[in-house]
Amino acid sequence: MKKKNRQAEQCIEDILLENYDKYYRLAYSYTHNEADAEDIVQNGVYKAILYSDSLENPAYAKTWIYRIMLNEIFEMLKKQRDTSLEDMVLETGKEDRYADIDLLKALNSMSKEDKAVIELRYFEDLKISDIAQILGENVNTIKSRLYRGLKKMKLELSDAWKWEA
Amino acid sequence: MEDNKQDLEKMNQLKSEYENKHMTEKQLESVKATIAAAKQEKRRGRRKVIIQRCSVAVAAIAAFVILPNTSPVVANAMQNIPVLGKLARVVTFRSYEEETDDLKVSVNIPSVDLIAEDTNGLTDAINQEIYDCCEEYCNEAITRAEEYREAFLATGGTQEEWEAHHIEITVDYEIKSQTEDFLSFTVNCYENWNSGSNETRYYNIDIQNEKIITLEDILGEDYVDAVNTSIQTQIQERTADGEVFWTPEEGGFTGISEDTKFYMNQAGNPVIVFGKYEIAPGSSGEVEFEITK
Repeated sequence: MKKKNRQAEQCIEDILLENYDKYYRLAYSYTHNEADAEDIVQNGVYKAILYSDSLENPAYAKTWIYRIMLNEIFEMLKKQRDTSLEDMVLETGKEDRYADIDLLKALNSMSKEDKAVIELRYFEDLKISDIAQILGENVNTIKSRLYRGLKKMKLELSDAWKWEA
Repeated sequence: MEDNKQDLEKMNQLKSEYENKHMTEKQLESVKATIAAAKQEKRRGRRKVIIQRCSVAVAAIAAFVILPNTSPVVANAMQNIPVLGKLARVVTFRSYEEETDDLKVSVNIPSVDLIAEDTNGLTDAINQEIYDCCEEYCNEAITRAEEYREAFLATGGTQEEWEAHHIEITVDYEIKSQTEDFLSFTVNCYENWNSGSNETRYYNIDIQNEKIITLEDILGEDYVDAVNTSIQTQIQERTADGEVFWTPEEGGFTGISEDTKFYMNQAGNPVIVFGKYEIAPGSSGEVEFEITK
Protein backbone atom coordinates (compact mmCIF):
# COMPACT_ATOMS: atom_id res chain seq x y z
CA MET A 1 0.00 0.00 0.00
CA LYS A 2 1.41 3.37 -0.99
CA LYS A 3 2.20 5.78 1.78
CA LYS A 4 -0.04 8.43 0.30
CA ASN A 5 -2.98 6.03 0.14
CA ARG A 6 -2.40 4.85 3.67
CA GLN A 7 -2.40 8.44 4.90
CA ALA A 8 -5.59 9.24 3.02
CA GLU A 9 -7.28 6.18 4.49
CA GLN A 10 -6.17 7.07 8.01
CA CYS A 11 -7.30 10.65 7.55
CA ILE A 12 -10.72 9.51 6.37
CA GLU A 13 -11.06 7.05 9.22
CA ASP A 14 -10.25 9.80 11.74
CA ILE A 15 -12.83 12.12 10.23
CA LEU A 16 -15.47 9.39 10.20
CA LEU A 17 -14.90 8.54 13.84
CA GLU A 18 -14.97 12.18 14.82
CA ASN A 19 -18.09 13.15 12.88
CA TYR A 20 -20.32 10.09 12.66
CA ASP A 21 -22.99 11.85 14.72
CA LYS A 22 -23.09 14.73 12.25
CA TYR A 23 -23.74 12.39 9.34
CA TYR A 24 -26.29 10.53 11.38
CA ARG A 25 -28.35 13.59 12.30
CA LEU A 26 -28.13 14.92 8.76
CA ALA A 27 -29.43 11.60 7.49
CA TYR A 28 -32.08 11.48 10.19
CA SER A 29 -33.37 14.93 9.29
CA TYR A 30 -34.28 13.44 5.91
CA THR A 31 -35.37 9.94 6.80
CA HIS A 32 -37.06 10.66 10.17
CA ASN A 33 -36.24 7.08 10.85
CA GLU A 34 -33.33 5.75 12.86
CA ALA A 35 -32.79 2.50 11.00
CA ASP A 36 -32.61 4.22 7.61
CA ALA A 37 -30.35 6.94 8.96
CA GLU A 38 -28.00 4.29 10.30
CA ASP A 39 -28.00 2.45 6.97
CA ILE A 40 -27.04 5.65 5.22
CA VAL A 41 -24.14 6.29 7.55
CA GLN A 42 -22.98 2.67 7.30
CA ASN A 43 -23.04 2.70 3.50
CA GLY A 44 -21.29 6.05 3.39
CA VAL A 45 -18.61 4.91 5.82
CA TYR A 46 -18.02 1.75 3.81
CA LYS A 47 -17.65 3.61 0.53
CA ALA A 48 -15.46 6.32 2.00
CA ILE A 49 -12.94 3.74 3.24
CA LEU A 50 -13.16 1.48 0.20
CA TYR A 51 -12.54 4.32 -2.24
CA SER A 52 -10.21 6.37 -0.06
CA ASP A 53 -7.41 5.87 -2.62
CA SER A 54 -9.36 7.94 -5.11
CA LEU A 55 -9.25 11.00 -2.88
CA GLU A 56 -6.50 13.12 -4.45
CA ASN A 57 -6.19 15.75 -1.77
CA PRO A 58 -6.75 15.02 1.94
CA ALA A 59 -7.66 18.70 2.41
CA TYR A 60 -10.96 17.87 0.73
CA ALA A 61 -11.62 14.79 2.84
CA LYS A 62 -14.28 16.47 4.98
CA THR A 63 -16.33 17.80 2.12
CA TRP A 64 -15.76 14.58 0.16
CA ILE A 65 -17.29 12.50 2.95
CA TYR A 66 -20.23 14.86 3.29
CA ARG A 67 -20.79 14.49 -0.40
CA ILE A 68 -20.79 10.70 -0.15
CA MET A 69 -23.26 10.88 2.74
CA LEU A 70 -25.58 13.28 0.93
CA ASN A 71 -25.52 11.03 -2.12
CA GLU A 72 -26.51 8.12 0.09
CA ILE A 73 -29.29 10.22 1.61
CA PHE A 74 -30.63 11.30 -1.78
CA GLU A 75 -30.39 7.72 -3.01
CA MET A 76 -32.43 6.56 -0.03
CA LEU A 77 -35.06 9.25 -0.62
CA LYS A 78 -35.43 8.08 -4.18
CA LYS A 79 -36.05 4.52 -2.99
CA GLN A 80 -38.49 5.67 -0.31
CA ARG A 81 -40.40 7.81 -2.76
CA ASP A 82 -40.81 4.76 -4.90
CA THR A 83 -42.08 2.59 -2.08
CA SER A 84 -43.72 4.24 0.89
CA LEU A 85 -44.51 7.89 0.62
CA GLU A 86 -47.24 7.69 3.23
CA ASP A 87 -45.12 6.19 5.96
CA MET A 88 -42.69 9.03 5.63
CA VAL A 89 -45.30 11.74 5.96
CA LEU A 90 -46.74 10.08 9.01
CA GLU A 91 -43.40 9.84 10.73
CA THR A 92 -42.47 13.44 10.07
CA GLY A 93 -44.79 14.92 12.62
CA LYS A 94 -43.81 12.68 15.47
CA GLU A 95 -40.61 14.04 16.88
CA ASP A 96 -41.30 17.74 16.56
CA ARG A 97 -42.74 18.36 19.97
CA TYR A 98 -40.40 21.10 21.05
CA ALA A 99 -39.32 22.94 17.95
CA ASP A 100 -41.41 25.49 16.12
CA ILE A 101 -43.70 23.32 14.05
CA ASP A 102 -44.12 25.79 11.22
CA LEU A 103 -40.40 26.22 10.89
CA LEU A 104 -39.80 22.51 10.75
CA LYS A 105 -42.60 22.04 8.28
CA ALA A 106 -41.07 24.71 6.09
CA LEU A 107 -37.69 23.01 6.30
CA ASN A 108 -39.12 19.63 5.42
CA SER A 109 -41.09 20.96 2.49
CA MET A 110 -38.01 22.41 0.78
CA SER A 111 -36.21 20.71 -2.06
CA LYS A 112 -33.62 18.27 -0.71
CA GLU A 113 -30.80 20.51 -1.87
CA ASP A 114 -32.20 23.69 -0.30
CA LYS A 115 -32.71 21.82 2.91
CA ALA A 116 -29.13 20.55 2.86
CA VAL A 117 -27.84 24.10 2.41
CA ILE A 118 -29.83 25.40 5.39
CA GLU A 119 -28.78 22.52 7.61
CA LEU A 120 -25.13 22.52 6.67
CA ARG A 121 -24.88 26.29 6.96
CA TYR A 122 -26.89 26.95 10.10
CA PHE A 123 -26.71 23.68 11.99
CA GLU A 124 -23.22 22.50 11.07
CA ASP A 125 -21.66 25.95 10.56
CA LEU A 126 -20.03 25.04 7.28
CA LYS A 127 -18.73 27.72 4.93
CA ILE A 128 -20.68 28.57 1.82
CA SER A 129 -17.69 27.54 -0.28
CA ASP A 130 -17.54 24.12 1.40
CA ILE A 131 -21.25 23.60 0.88
CA ALA A 132 -20.74 24.49 -2.77
CA GLN A 133 -18.13 21.74 -3.00
CA ILE A 134 -20.31 19.22 -1.23
CA LEU A 135 -23.25 19.80 -3.54
CA GLY A 136 -21.12 20.28 -6.63
CA GLU A 137 -22.61 23.69 -7.33
CA ASN A 138 -21.15 27.17 -7.47
CA VAL A 139 -21.22 29.60 -4.58
CA ASN A 140 -23.93 31.79 -6.07
CA THR A 141 -26.29 28.88 -6.47
CA ILE A 142 -25.75 28.01 -2.82
CA LYS A 143 -26.45 31.60 -1.79
CA SER A 144 -29.69 31.70 -3.72
CA ARG A 145 -30.72 28.35 -2.21
CA LEU A 146 -30.00 29.83 1.19
CA TYR A 147 -32.10 32.96 0.54
CA ARG A 148 -34.92 30.90 -0.83
CA GLY A 149 -34.82 28.61 2.19
CA LEU A 150 -34.84 31.41 4.72
CA LYS A 151 -37.68 33.10 2.90
CA LYS A 152 -39.69 29.94 3.06
CA MET A 153 -39.01 29.73 6.78
CA LYS A 154 -39.96 33.40 7.05
CA LEU A 155 -36.78 34.20 8.89
CA GLU A 156 -34.88 37.46 8.74
CA LEU A 157 -31.25 36.89 9.42
CA SER A 158 -28.38 39.21 8.67
CA ASP A 159 -26.06 38.79 5.73
CA ALA A 160 -23.06 38.88 8.02
CA TRP A 161 -24.29 35.85 9.87
CA LYS A 162 -25.22 34.06 6.71
CA TRP A 163 -22.07 34.40 4.68
CA GLU A 164 -19.27 34.40 7.19
CA ALA A 165 -18.07 31.27 8.83
CA MET B 1 -29.88 44.22 7.83
CA GLU B 2 -29.97 43.31 11.48
CA ASP B 3 -30.77 39.83 12.63
CA ASN B 4 -34.26 39.62 13.78
CA LYS B 5 -33.57 38.50 17.36
CA GLN B 6 -36.66 36.39 17.52
CA ASP B 7 -35.74 34.66 14.27
CA LEU B 8 -32.22 33.98 15.45
CA GLU B 9 -33.68 32.47 18.56
CA LYS B 10 -35.97 30.27 16.46
CA MET B 11 -33.12 29.07 14.28
CA ASN B 12 -30.99 28.24 17.31
CA GLN B 13 -33.84 26.35 18.83
CA LEU B 14 -34.21 24.37 15.65
CA LYS B 15 -30.49 23.74 15.68
CA SER B 16 -30.47 22.30 19.17
CA GLU B 17 -33.38 20.12 18.24
CA TYR B 18 -31.43 18.92 15.22
CA GLU B 19 -28.31 18.29 17.29
CA ASN B 20 -30.23 16.23 19.75
CA LYS B 21 -29.94 13.14 17.61
CA HIS B 22 -27.07 10.82 18.48
CA MET B 23 -25.93 7.41 17.48
CA THR B 24 -26.10 4.86 20.25
CA GLU B 25 -23.01 3.08 21.56
CA LYS B 26 -24.14 0.02 19.68
CA GLN B 27 -24.55 1.91 16.42
CA LEU B 28 -21.09 3.38 16.83
CA GLU B 29 -19.70 -0.10 17.35
CA SER B 30 -21.17 -1.21 14.05
CA VAL B 31 -19.74 1.88 12.33
CA LYS B 32 -16.34 0.79 13.59
CA ALA B 33 -16.98 -2.73 12.39
CA THR B 34 -17.92 -1.35 8.99
CA ILE B 35 -14.66 0.58 8.80
CA ALA B 36 -12.75 -2.59 9.58
CA ALA B 37 -14.74 -4.56 7.02
CA ALA B 38 -14.18 -1.94 4.32
CA LYS B 39 -10.45 -1.97 5.01
CA GLN B 40 -10.37 -5.71 4.77
CA GLU B 41 -12.31 -5.68 1.53
CA LYS B 42 -9.88 -3.14 0.16
CA ARG B 43 -6.85 -5.28 1.11
CA ARG B 44 -8.50 -8.48 -0.02
CA GLY B 45 -9.03 -6.91 -3.43
CA ARG B 46 -5.29 -6.41 -3.58
CA ARG B 47 -4.33 -9.95 -2.69
CA LYS B 48 -6.91 -11.76 -4.67
CA VAL B 49 -4.33 -12.73 -7.30
CA ILE B 50 -3.47 -16.11 -5.96
CA ILE B 51 -6.56 -17.24 -4.21
CA GLN B 52 -8.97 -16.63 -7.01
CA ARG B 53 -10.36 -19.87 -8.31
CA CYS B 54 -12.01 -20.57 -11.53
CA SER B 55 -15.57 -21.66 -11.85
CA VAL B 56 -17.70 -21.81 -14.92
CA ALA B 57 -19.99 -18.83 -15.25
CA VAL B 58 -22.11 -19.75 -18.17
CA ALA B 59 -24.85 -17.22 -17.54
CA ALA B 60 -22.38 -14.37 -17.54
CA ILE B 61 -20.95 -15.28 -20.89
CA ALA B 62 -24.18 -14.61 -22.69
CA ALA B 63 -24.03 -10.96 -21.74
CA PHE B 64 -20.75 -10.52 -23.53
CA VAL B 65 -20.32 -9.39 -27.09
CA ILE B 66 -17.97 -11.60 -29.03
CA LEU B 67 -16.76 -10.70 -32.47
CA PRO B 68 -16.47 -13.60 -34.85
CA ASN B 69 -13.09 -15.09 -35.50
CA THR B 70 -13.08 -13.61 -38.94
CA SER B 71 -12.29 -10.14 -37.64
CA PRO B 72 -9.12 -8.46 -38.98
CA VAL B 73 -7.56 -8.67 -35.55
CA VAL B 74 -7.88 -12.42 -35.57
CA ALA B 75 -6.65 -12.78 -39.09
CA ASN B 76 -3.62 -10.81 -38.08
CA ALA B 77 -3.07 -12.86 -34.97
CA MET B 78 -3.27 -16.09 -36.90
CA GLN B 79 -0.21 -15.15 -38.90
CA ASN B 80 1.82 -15.04 -35.73
CA ILE B 81 1.09 -18.47 -34.40
CA PRO B 82 4.11 -19.79 -32.63
CA VAL B 83 4.74 -23.29 -33.85
CA LEU B 84 5.96 -25.50 -31.07
CA GLY B 85 7.94 -28.25 -32.58
CA LYS B 86 5.88 -30.70 -34.50
CA LEU B 87 3.59 -31.74 -31.74
CA ALA B 88 1.91 -28.78 -30.21
CA ARG B 89 1.11 -25.20 -30.73
CA VAL B 90 -0.78 -22.44 -29.03
CA VAL B 91 -3.15 -20.54 -31.21
CA THR B 92 -5.28 -17.53 -30.61
CA PHE B 93 -8.66 -19.07 -30.35
CA ARG B 94 -10.69 -15.93 -29.99
CA SER B 95 -9.61 -12.36 -30.27
CA TYR B 96 -11.62 -9.21 -29.98
CA GLU B 97 -11.47 -5.63 -28.95
CA GLU B 98 -14.24 -3.49 -27.70
CA GLU B 99 -13.93 0.18 -27.03
CA THR B 100 -16.46 2.61 -25.66
CA ASP B 101 -15.95 6.18 -24.47
CA ASP B 102 -14.57 5.13 -21.17
CA LEU B 103 -13.71 1.46 -21.36
CA LYS B 104 -11.43 -0.58 -23.56
CA VAL B 105 -11.52 -4.36 -23.54
CA SER B 106 -8.89 -6.25 -25.44
CA VAL B 107 -8.89 -10.02 -25.42
CA ASN B 108 -6.76 -12.77 -26.93
CA ILE B 109 -7.91 -16.10 -25.67
CA PRO B 110 -5.40 -18.84 -26.43
CA SER B 111 -6.11 -22.42 -27.21
CA VAL B 112 -3.77 -25.38 -27.15
CA ASP B 113 -3.57 -27.53 -30.21
CA LEU B 114 -1.88 -30.88 -29.74
CA ILE B 115 -1.12 -32.65 -32.97
CA ALA B 116 -2.02 -36.11 -31.85
CA GLU B 117 -4.76 -38.53 -32.61
CA ASP B 118 -6.02 -38.89 -29.12
CA THR B 119 -5.24 -36.56 -26.26
CA ASN B 120 -7.53 -38.13 -23.68
CA GLY B 121 -9.68 -35.05 -23.90
CA LEU B 122 -6.91 -33.13 -22.17
CA THR B 123 -6.69 -30.27 -24.62
CA ASP B 124 -10.44 -29.93 -24.75
CA ALA B 125 -10.57 -29.70 -20.98
CA ILE B 126 -7.74 -27.20 -20.83
CA ASN B 127 -9.14 -25.12 -23.63
CA GLN B 128 -12.56 -25.04 -22.09
CA GLU B 129 -11.07 -24.00 -18.78
CA ILE B 130 -9.02 -21.26 -20.36
CA TYR B 131 -11.97 -20.01 -22.30
CA ASP B 132 -14.29 -20.00 -19.31
CA CYS B 133 -11.75 -18.28 -17.11
CA CYS B 134 -11.06 -15.57 -19.65
CA GLU B 135 -14.72 -14.88 -20.16
CA GLU B 136 -15.44 -14.90 -16.47
CA TYR B 137 -12.59 -12.58 -15.77
CA CYS B 138 -13.71 -10.18 -18.47
CA ASN B 139 -17.24 -10.05 -17.19
CA GLU B 140 -16.09 -9.53 -13.65
CA ALA B 141 -13.61 -6.89 -14.73
CA ILE B 142 -16.32 -5.01 -16.58
CA THR B 143 -18.57 -5.19 -13.53
CA ARG B 144 -15.71 -3.94 -11.37
CA ALA B 145 -15.07 -1.08 -13.77
CA GLU B 146 -18.76 -0.18 -13.74
CA GLU B 147 -18.89 -0.27 -9.96
CA TYR B 148 -15.79 1.86 -9.86
CA ARG B 149 -17.36 4.34 -12.27
CA GLU B 150 -20.51 4.50 -10.19
CA ALA B 151 -18.55 5.07 -7.01
CA PHE B 152 -16.32 7.60 -8.72
CA LEU B 153 -19.25 9.61 -10.00
CA ALA B 154 -21.18 9.19 -6.76
CA THR B 155 -18.31 10.58 -4.74
CA GLY B 156 -17.88 13.76 -6.69
CA GLY B 157 -15.96 12.80 -9.82
CA THR B 158 -17.11 14.23 -13.13
CA GLN B 159 -17.69 12.30 -16.33
CA GLU B 160 -14.68 14.02 -17.93
CA GLU B 161 -12.42 13.09 -15.03
CA TRP B 162 -13.68 9.55 -15.28
CA GLU B 163 -12.96 9.26 -18.97
CA ALA B 164 -9.43 10.49 -18.34
CA HIS B 165 -8.84 7.24 -16.43
CA HIS B 166 -8.62 5.24 -19.68
CA ILE B 167 -9.80 2.03 -18.12
CA GLU B 168 -8.44 -0.98 -19.95
CA ILE B 169 -9.12 -4.65 -19.47
CA THR B 170 -6.71 -7.01 -21.17
CA VAL B 171 -6.58 -10.75 -21.53
CA ASP B 172 -3.55 -12.18 -23.27
CA TYR B 173 -1.14 -15.08 -23.12
CA GLU B 174 2.58 -15.61 -23.02
CA ILE B 175 4.58 -18.67 -23.95
CA LYS B 176 7.20 -19.33 -21.32
CA SER B 177 8.99 -22.22 -22.96
CA GLN B 178 8.56 -24.88 -25.58
CA THR B 179 10.45 -28.08 -26.31
CA GLU B 180 9.62 -31.39 -27.91
CA ASP B 181 8.58 -32.61 -24.48
CA PHE B 182 6.67 -29.84 -22.84
CA LEU B 183 4.81 -26.65 -23.37
CA SER B 184 4.57 -23.96 -20.73
CA PHE B 185 2.53 -20.82 -21.03
CA THR B 186 0.57 -18.33 -18.98
CA VAL B 187 -2.76 -16.65 -19.47
CA ASN B 188 -2.70 -13.12 -18.16
CA CYS B 189 -5.73 -11.09 -17.22
CA TYR B 190 -5.31 -7.56 -16.03
CA GLU B 191 -6.99 -4.24 -15.43
CA ASN B 192 -4.84 -1.16 -15.76
CA TRP B 193 -6.49 0.59 -12.82
CA ASN B 194 -6.74 -2.16 -10.29
CA SER B 195 -3.61 -4.26 -9.95
CA GLY B 196 -5.19 -6.19 -7.10
CA SER B 197 -7.44 -8.20 -9.33
CA ASN B 198 -4.84 -9.08 -11.91
CA GLU B 199 -4.69 -12.77 -12.50
CA THR B 200 -2.14 -15.05 -14.07
CA ARG B 201 -2.78 -18.69 -14.72
CA TYR B 202 -0.04 -21.17 -15.48
CA TYR B 203 -0.28 -24.12 -17.82
CA ASN B 204 2.43 -26.74 -18.11
CA ILE B 205 1.70 -29.56 -20.46
CA ASP B 206 3.61 -32.77 -20.96
CA ILE B 207 3.30 -33.22 -24.70
CA GLN B 208 4.61 -36.76 -24.86
CA ASN B 209 2.29 -38.11 -22.21
CA GLU B 210 -0.50 -35.67 -22.81
CA LYS B 211 -0.97 -34.59 -19.25
CA ILE B 212 -0.55 -31.59 -16.99
CA ILE B 213 2.90 -31.49 -15.41
CA THR B 214 3.03 -31.37 -11.63
CA LEU B 215 5.99 -30.46 -9.45
CA GLU B 216 6.05 -34.06 -8.32
CA ASP B 217 6.54 -35.21 -11.92
CA ILE B 218 9.67 -33.12 -12.19
CA LEU B 219 11.16 -33.28 -8.71
CA GLY B 220 9.94 -36.61 -7.38
CA GLU B 221 8.08 -37.61 -4.25
CA ASP B 222 9.95 -35.31 -1.90
CA TYR B 223 9.23 -32.28 -4.02
CA VAL B 224 7.69 -30.25 -1.17
CA ASP B 225 10.81 -30.43 0.99
CA ALA B 226 13.09 -29.92 -1.99
CA VAL B 227 11.26 -26.80 -3.09
CA ASN B 228 10.90 -25.34 0.41
CA THR B 229 14.58 -25.85 1.19
CA SER B 230 15.62 -24.33 -2.09
CA ILE B 231 13.36 -21.30 -1.68
CA GLN B 232 14.45 -20.70 1.91
CA THR B 233 18.08 -20.79 0.86
CA GLN B 234 17.41 -18.44 -2.03
CA ILE B 235 15.48 -16.04 0.21
CA GLN B 236 18.48 -15.89 2.55
CA GLU B 237 20.87 -15.24 -0.29
CA ARG B 238 18.67 -12.62 -1.89
CA THR B 239 17.99 -10.92 1.44
CA ALA B 240 21.74 -10.60 1.86
CA ASP B 241 21.78 -8.91 -1.54
CA GLY B 242 19.29 -6.34 -0.30
CA GLU B 243 16.02 -7.80 -1.55
CA VAL B 244 13.09 -7.47 0.87
CA PHE B 245 10.91 -10.41 1.85
CA TRP B 246 8.28 -10.55 4.55
CA THR B 247 9.04 -12.79 7.50
CA PRO B 248 6.67 -15.72 8.07
CA GLU B 249 5.10 -13.67 10.93
CA GLU B 250 4.42 -10.82 8.51
CA GLY B 251 2.72 -13.19 6.11
CA GLY B 252 5.82 -14.17 4.17
CA PHE B 253 6.94 -17.54 2.83
CA THR B 254 6.07 -20.53 4.98
CA GLY B 255 6.10 -23.30 2.43
CA ILE B 256 4.54 -24.26 -0.86
CA SER B 257 1.06 -25.64 -1.20
CA GLU B 258 -0.99 -27.41 -3.82
CA ASP B 259 -1.86 -24.06 -5.30
CA THR B 260 1.69 -22.87 -5.73
CA LYS B 261 2.18 -21.58 -9.24
CA PHE B 262 5.06 -22.41 -11.50
CA TYR B 263 6.13 -22.47 -15.09
CA MET B 264 8.86 -24.38 -16.90
CA ASN B 265 11.87 -22.53 -18.18
CA GLN B 266 13.65 -23.54 -21.34
CA ALA B 267 16.16 -25.60 -19.31
CA GLY B 268 13.28 -27.73 -18.05
CA ASN B 269 13.50 -26.45 -14.49
CA PRO B 270 10.36 -25.37 -12.68
CA VAL B 271 10.22 -21.72 -11.72
CA ILE B 272 8.02 -21.06 -8.69
CA VAL B 273 6.11 -17.80 -8.86
CA PHE B 274 4.61 -15.82 -6.01
CA GLY B 275 2.16 -13.08 -6.82
CA LYS B 276 2.60 -9.47 -5.89
CA TYR B 277 2.17 -9.01 -2.10
CA GLU B 278 2.16 -12.74 -1.53
CA ILE B 279 5.51 -13.08 0.22
CA ALA B 280 7.10 -9.67 -0.28
CA PRO B 281 6.09 -6.00 -0.46
CA GLY B 282 4.25 -4.89 -3.58
CA SER B 283 7.31 -3.04 -4.81
CA SER B 284 8.95 -6.41 -5.53
CA GLY B 285 6.16 -7.34 -7.92
CA GLU B 286 6.01 -11.04 -8.69
CA VAL B 287 8.79 -13.04 -7.08
CA GLU B 288 10.30 -16.05 -8.85
CA PHE B 289 12.52 -18.93 -7.74
CA GLU B 290 14.08 -21.36 -10.15
CA ILE B 291 14.36 -24.82 -8.64
CA THR B 292 17.22 -26.73 -10.21
CA LYS B 293 16.73 -30.44 -10.53
